Amino acid sequence: MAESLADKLKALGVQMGAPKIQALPPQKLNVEEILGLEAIRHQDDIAYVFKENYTSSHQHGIINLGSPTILQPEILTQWARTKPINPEGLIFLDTETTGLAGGTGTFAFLVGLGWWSDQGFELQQLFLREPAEEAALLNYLEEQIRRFEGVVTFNGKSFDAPLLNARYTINSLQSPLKGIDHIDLLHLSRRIWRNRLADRSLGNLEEQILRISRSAEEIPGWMVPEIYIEYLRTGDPAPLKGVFYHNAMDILSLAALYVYLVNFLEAPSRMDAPQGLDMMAVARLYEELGYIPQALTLYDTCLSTELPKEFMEQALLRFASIYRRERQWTSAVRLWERAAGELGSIAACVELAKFYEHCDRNKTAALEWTERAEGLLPTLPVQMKDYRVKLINDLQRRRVRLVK
Amino acid sequence: MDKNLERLIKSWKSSEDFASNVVVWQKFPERLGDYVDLPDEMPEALQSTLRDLGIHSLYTHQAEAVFHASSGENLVITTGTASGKSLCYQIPVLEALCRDPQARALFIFPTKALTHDQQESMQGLLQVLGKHQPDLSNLVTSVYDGDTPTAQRQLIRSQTRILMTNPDMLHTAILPHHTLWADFISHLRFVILDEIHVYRGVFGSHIANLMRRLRRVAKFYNAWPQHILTSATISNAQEHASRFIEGPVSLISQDASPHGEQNVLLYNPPLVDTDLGIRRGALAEGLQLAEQLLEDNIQSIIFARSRRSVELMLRQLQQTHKNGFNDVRGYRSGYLRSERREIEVGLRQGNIKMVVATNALELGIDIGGIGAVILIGYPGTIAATRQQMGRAGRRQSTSIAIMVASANPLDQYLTRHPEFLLERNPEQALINPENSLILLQHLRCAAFELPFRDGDGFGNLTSGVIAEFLEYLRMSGVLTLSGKQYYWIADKYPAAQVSLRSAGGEKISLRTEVDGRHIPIGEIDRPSAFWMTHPGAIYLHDGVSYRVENLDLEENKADLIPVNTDYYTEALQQSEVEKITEIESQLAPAGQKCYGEIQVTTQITGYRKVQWLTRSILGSEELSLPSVDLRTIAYWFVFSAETVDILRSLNLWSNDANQYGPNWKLQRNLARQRDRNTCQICGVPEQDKAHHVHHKIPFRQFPSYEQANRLDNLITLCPVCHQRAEMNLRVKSGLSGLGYVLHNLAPMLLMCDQFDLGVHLDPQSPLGDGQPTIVLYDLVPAGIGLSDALYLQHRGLVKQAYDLVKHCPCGDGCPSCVGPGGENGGGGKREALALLAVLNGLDISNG
Repeated sequence: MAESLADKLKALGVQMGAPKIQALPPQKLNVEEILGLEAIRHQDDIAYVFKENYTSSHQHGIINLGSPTILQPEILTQWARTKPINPEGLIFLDTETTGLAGGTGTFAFLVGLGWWSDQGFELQQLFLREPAEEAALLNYLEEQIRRFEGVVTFNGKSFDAPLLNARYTINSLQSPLKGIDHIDLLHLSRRIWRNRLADRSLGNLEEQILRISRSAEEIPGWMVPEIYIEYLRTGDPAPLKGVFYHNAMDILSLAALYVYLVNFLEAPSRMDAPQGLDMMAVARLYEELGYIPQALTLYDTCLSTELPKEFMEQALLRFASIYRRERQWTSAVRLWERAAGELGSIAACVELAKFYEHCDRNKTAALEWTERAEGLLPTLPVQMKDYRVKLINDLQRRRVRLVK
Repeated sequence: MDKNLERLIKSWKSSEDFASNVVVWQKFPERLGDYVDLPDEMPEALQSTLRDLGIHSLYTHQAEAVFHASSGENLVITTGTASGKSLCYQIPVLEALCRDPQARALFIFPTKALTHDQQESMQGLLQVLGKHQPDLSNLVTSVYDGDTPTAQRQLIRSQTRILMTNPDMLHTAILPHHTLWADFISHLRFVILDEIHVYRGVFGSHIANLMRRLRRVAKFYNAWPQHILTSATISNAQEHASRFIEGPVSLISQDASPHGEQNVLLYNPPLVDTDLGIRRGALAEGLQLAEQLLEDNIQSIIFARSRRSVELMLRQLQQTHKNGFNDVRGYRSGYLRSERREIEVGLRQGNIKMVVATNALELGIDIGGIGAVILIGYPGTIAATRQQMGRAGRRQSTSIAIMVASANPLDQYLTRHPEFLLERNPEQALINPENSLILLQHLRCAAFELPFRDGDGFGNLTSGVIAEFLEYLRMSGVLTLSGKQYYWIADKYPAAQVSLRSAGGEKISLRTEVDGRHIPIGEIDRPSAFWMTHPGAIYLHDGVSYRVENLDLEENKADLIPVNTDYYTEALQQSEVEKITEIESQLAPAGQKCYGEIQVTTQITGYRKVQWLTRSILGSEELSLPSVDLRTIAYWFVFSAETVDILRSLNLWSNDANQYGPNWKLQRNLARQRDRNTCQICGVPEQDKAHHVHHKIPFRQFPSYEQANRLDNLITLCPVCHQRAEMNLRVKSGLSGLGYVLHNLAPMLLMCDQFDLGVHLDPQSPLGDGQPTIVLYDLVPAGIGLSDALYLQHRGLVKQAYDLVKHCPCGDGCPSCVGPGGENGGGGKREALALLAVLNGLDISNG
């Protein structure tokens, strides 16, 4: 009998990998029934979709999932560089894939979608019973996305969108994600919670910000590819329920996070128990995008919260620097003096020295602040060696100039 | 400077010392180029561009290439070094771009240095072209390699018309992300594959499969690119090229470029010991010649074989020459690009007098013509020899290229057969894209790139052939079958796991300790690890010698430390060979040649230390390692019973193991009893098998068996010690002498390294139904085409071997023919020569 390729490769030293339950043909189970899928005929294909409707009173953690009453704040539109979009114009999207490595061999087997409608918050999960149904899924997905003006994701700009774009290309289709407005909440979350939360993953934001805990059905994201691949081998869809739950929760949290952020950006100080650090991050956002009056108000509010010392110093300095740019010296000096006095800020002393030397032409005061800065040098953390050297040089030069 | 060279040549010619070492002095007279006008069909803008750059006409081979390319053919260009090969593909690509500014071209180079060199050349052309055809003025050509910053990649993908890259990038970065390149690939008009003679053996077999993947992806985007390839001169360039394209390829080989008078010399260092065949070292001789060139202010390149020899010679030359540090420079991999570039420019401008280089300078880099080139030893292939020698030569003035032969059999063979270097290159580049291991890996990558549909083939492989592989991959869980398509479903990125330079299978990682940290220096496939990196082995990597301290077969790693030694190691192995299938066999003089699939079970029993220079043995050590199985393709020759009878009757057969006379059995048992069934060297007692009994003075040296078998000439030894004793005696048999010479010669035909081939000798072989057999086999599992080629070239191989041994001036065997002779026993040269004679169908019965 002719030798099989497997035997031959084995003799050549190829290891097949961990022994798997190969020989079993996949079971013929009714996947649609077990997963509760609806078969939606679409052109010549059938897409398989799980649907769920959350009424407008549905509470997801601290967020009510009813459509946000306010429109997308201008600051968000500016930051995301989109056109102004009503909440009803947004579709939330999150994919579950066969791998995290990327490349053309990875595909999305579950695409979760969510949007607000008259009925409340609608969830649809598009599922591939097997890879050959991909074109049907993509066509159906395109039709859904086309109904909206913008898509909201968490890390979708780097992951979900390129992956789906590749899938559309491979199926010789046009991707609806190319050219559509895209708000990636990961980037925004990073900006806002950079200083407060070490972990800005959606899971952690869910716990820390939205106060949600997932049920026992939840399975961790890294297990997702394995569960689907196992399903393709065995034909048993039951373990996938956890993946559907995981994906549904991601979509709900994404929408909830959007609601939270919209409200927070619109009026940070109106939130319950506003966090100084979060507010400062928003203040910086406003400042950088050129909304100076809002930034000033926010910095001012920040100063009345409990900020850690280094951030308090940062807030005062940034706050002051706005006034300096606007040449509102009195306000700037007041803030610098507060930073120097309350916090022993060297940077504030230097700013004051500069101000007195160049603007106020008050050599005595300038010299006084220069010496005050020099006196504070020992408080500089040791690791800021380069900064210290530069600072020492600058101060020395200034002093020489002033005593001349 | 030209005067200097002419004067030096004259003085060398008249020097008796010099002339007596020159085996061949071939003078190629000055040749005028053959030119034709720029073709009328060439777009105006391109014609003007070439004229602006001083190119008013083309060499006929360039014009021929342009003509064939414009009629849509695939081409391979094999003209010599500095014959303007680049223009042969640059022009067709630029023509295509002039006509269709949307067209794209992909250039694939084997080295980064070549890539950047070509990028600059192309940018130069484009700059001028943009002036003549404004819609091309923003045309982008980019290098895409491992050093390309991530931030630039997106821009390159969307804008580049001409992409310069290397096989590894195509393999790991471009094809697995082809959707990002959809626009580029959809418009792919040309694929340029440069220096394809480099793509042979395992590497070449990978590249052939990589090209299948590229065409498969291109087809998906409905692109059918045309291919232009270049190669050094080899005997099968056209066939080799067509294996990458899997279609017809036109050959452009008539070099019409001009050159001045060229002198090519083969220089054999004088014999120091005629009988043992020991010559003065090639390095020392080469150094002397280099010093003369330097003294006479003649611009030259010295090619050495290893990075270490480069550094050695460089140090010597820089220190002895008065302006050495400015005039003499090194050039090898490991130097910075800017440093290399500076040297290239220095060579072109003439302010650098001498460069000591490895083959890093051999491929394509433009350095202009050089007065003199010295090769220290044969570079390993004739193609490389010619490319290195081709660095000498200018348009109008005289040049000289000298190869200083080393003691290697191939070097020595070539000094007697210069026609291979000077006229016809017998080398063929061999690949085996169908090697199951390599093919399997690329099918993994290809399935990742695009699903396989029912009925899809792979390159020229039919769906029938690959179905079995796809099914295997499905069974191993990385593919799933859905709607008659195989989809990749593993959470893995297969290209990252496939190295284009190894056949696959398990790897042993090699590491060394630097400042208390383990630094990986490379990896080696597991079967090779046993004989290349056993404990105590000297392992050469990037020109550095390491000694293996520890080989951990469970964790698949080996610890090495850098050492300075004057010896290398040779593993002592006992192999058993088993036939799996005989694919083909044919009667030939003296017996039958065969090729087929075999299984080699090898036990490494120990190793010996061999001195580099003299190849004398410094000592040997024992090892206990598990045995290794290798399943591969082999070529073997079975000597017929009649042949052996004739040789035996002429006392030319030295491989009878058991013809020790009628009292042997008795004497043997007496000796074992006397020695209490214990090895008399290591003291190991017999287990279930009887120990060996060894003749202290070889049997053949006695006039009668009674004398040879006297108890005082016998000693009981365990098999391992016995083998060592035999090695120490170095009684060589005719068969082992034959093995030595074939193993050393075959690489010339196969363009491979000696380490790519295994050799096995057995006076009573199971491959030949108990007849004496010599086996040469591919050391890569499943074979890469070497053995198949040997089978086809059996006749040429044995003829060359016969010539080599017959004309070797040594007494009874030397490193340059059948291997070093013995101290107590015969060297086996006479017997090996007799075997070679009958293999060539010569009648030996009359002496």
